[in-house]
Amino acid sequence: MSETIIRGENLEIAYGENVLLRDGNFAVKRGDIFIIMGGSGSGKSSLLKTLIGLKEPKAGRVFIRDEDFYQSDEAKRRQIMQGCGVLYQSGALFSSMTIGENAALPLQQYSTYSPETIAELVELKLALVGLQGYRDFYPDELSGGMKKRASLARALALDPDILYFDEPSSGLDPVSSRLQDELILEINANQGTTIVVISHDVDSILTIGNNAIYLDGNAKQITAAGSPQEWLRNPPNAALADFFKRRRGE
Amino acid sequence: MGLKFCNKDKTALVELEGDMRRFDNPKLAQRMLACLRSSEKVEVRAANLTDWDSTTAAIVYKIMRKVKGVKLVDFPQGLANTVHLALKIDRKPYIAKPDDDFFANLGEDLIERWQGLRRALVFMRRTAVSFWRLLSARAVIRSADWIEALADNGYRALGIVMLASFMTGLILAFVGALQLRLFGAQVYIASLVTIAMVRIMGAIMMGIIMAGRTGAQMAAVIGSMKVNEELDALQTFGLEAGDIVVMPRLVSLALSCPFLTIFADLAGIVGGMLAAVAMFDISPAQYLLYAKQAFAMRDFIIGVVHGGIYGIIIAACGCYFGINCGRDARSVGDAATKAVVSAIVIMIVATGALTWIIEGIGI
Ligand SMILES: Nc1ncnc2c1ncn2[C@@H]1O[C@H](COP(=O)(O)OP(=O)(O)O)[C@@H](O)[C@H]1O
Ligand SMILES: [Mg+2]
Repeated sequence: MSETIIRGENLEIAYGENVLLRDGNFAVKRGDIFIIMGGSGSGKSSLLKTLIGLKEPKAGRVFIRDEDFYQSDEAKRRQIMQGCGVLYQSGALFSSMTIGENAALPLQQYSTYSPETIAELVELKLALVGLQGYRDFYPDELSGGMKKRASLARALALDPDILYFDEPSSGLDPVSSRLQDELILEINANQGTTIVVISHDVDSILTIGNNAIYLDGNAKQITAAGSPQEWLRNPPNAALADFFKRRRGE
Repeated sequence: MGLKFCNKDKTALVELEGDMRRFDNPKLAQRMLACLRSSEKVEVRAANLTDWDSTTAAIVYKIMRKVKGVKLVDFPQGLANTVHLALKIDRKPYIAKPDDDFFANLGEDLIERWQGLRRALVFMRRTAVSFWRLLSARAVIRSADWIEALADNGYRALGIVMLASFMTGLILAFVGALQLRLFGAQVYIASLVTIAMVRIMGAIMMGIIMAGRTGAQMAAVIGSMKVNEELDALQTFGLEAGDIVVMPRLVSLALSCPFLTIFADLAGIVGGMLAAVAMFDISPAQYLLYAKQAFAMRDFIIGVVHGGIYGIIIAACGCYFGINCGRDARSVGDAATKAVVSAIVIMIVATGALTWIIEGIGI
């Protein structure tokens, strides 16, 4: 089980003239928990957008399960995306729907399951994220952490084999943040889901990550790729040494 | 392949077999649960299960929730862990949403109304305080906000307001002249249009257009600021939302609406002239003469004052519903709707009241 599931090839990401990343190459293996690290504004969210089909790269290619994403037609892209779950930085729950309806939406949209089966699946997913009993609540009736978990339930709805998280621990207290790490590990272990996480929470990175890249906002490049635990012992460059020291030390 | 079950001597056996991915058979699942209910011991076996996904986990999870004393035998590690993870979290009963109880609803309705009234009073008090601070030059003023508000509520609205009034004058003239012609009195069409536009119609058309255009925009913008917690941020900086958010909008609209009303009056009279000249054989000079005779300064001032009051009503409704907006996208839409509808209703009620007062005390 070490085939490559996501691959970026010579990626260049830019907003107009403002280039964020040049010549980005990396590969994510199936079953990995892959961390995208980097300072604020280094382009992590933009790279994620490129991986989930929301932002076409200026140059280079994105392969997902060996399909060249941006060369595929509309139908193919949609099919590729159905195997991907995304947890947005802000949660992005639909405020006019209850938590249950939010989680049911992708199932109604993309599966042919009967309403009863959809209801059972929603029940299971909400229980998995610890929101049993909140099916009929609207997002604005939940706390920030609960909203995040609800949107995780929605991201899990279609049993994705790739799951993306944009800064999952932002806005969470340390305890919720550890619980969320455990949940990520469980999902990864139980269903073999590949997980890509944007994070600069050092504890979390060291707990869950088995592979990582570091985006350097100044160099506009991926300056390191490898294992974060190894980097902690043996930082490959000054920026990373600083990253670990500063975040851990304080 | 799939789901098998039997129940002997109060000991039930459930077999998961083969490829159970995308299992979707609610009737079978229902029968299985009914069968398990009468048993004391349940064993779920998965020795021959080759593939599973969440639908499989959902079935097992449901069994474990509905029946006690379930044993999982020969389960793949991931599946057993998933089910246990779902069960691990304390089972909360559904937190009951309020029922449709008539009396409870009535009570809540009254409370809601009372709170709405209180919020409105608080809003008025704060606005008055802000206004006083503005007059005594103690308010925080960001000139950019004021310039933007004046431009937006002033000349950018001029075109649409004049167009609407022009059409109103034209229609008024057309419908009126059809009747007046029966008496050969169509020249009086100029008087009719002028009196109507100047006294009230110009102000009303201006008010309706501005409520739909500016009132809705105010509620939506302020509502989004609320959703983004911008209003909270203002407060933590020690700034009053009343000074920064309400005052520029309220004052600029109160100032610009009288002027917009004057332009609306003019456009309406010109619209009437077009109908009169084109369809009823009245010369422009004749029309203007009769219009001038019908024009009364008193009516004109009453109309312009109405315009100013409408401006205050529109801005107050927009700001009030924006500030009291909920915290999600849906409530921003609600706020915009409420701002427009209540502004128009209050404008109509106010017009009635003002007319009664003016005629009553005979200004
Ligand atoms: N939609 C956009 N249009 C233009 N520039 C953007 C846009 N989104 C992000 N940027 C710029 O790209 C840079 C990286 O943003 P982002 O990918 O969100 O960084 P990160 O997630 O690493 O903090 C920032 O400097 C930001 O100003
Ligand atoms: Mg980001």
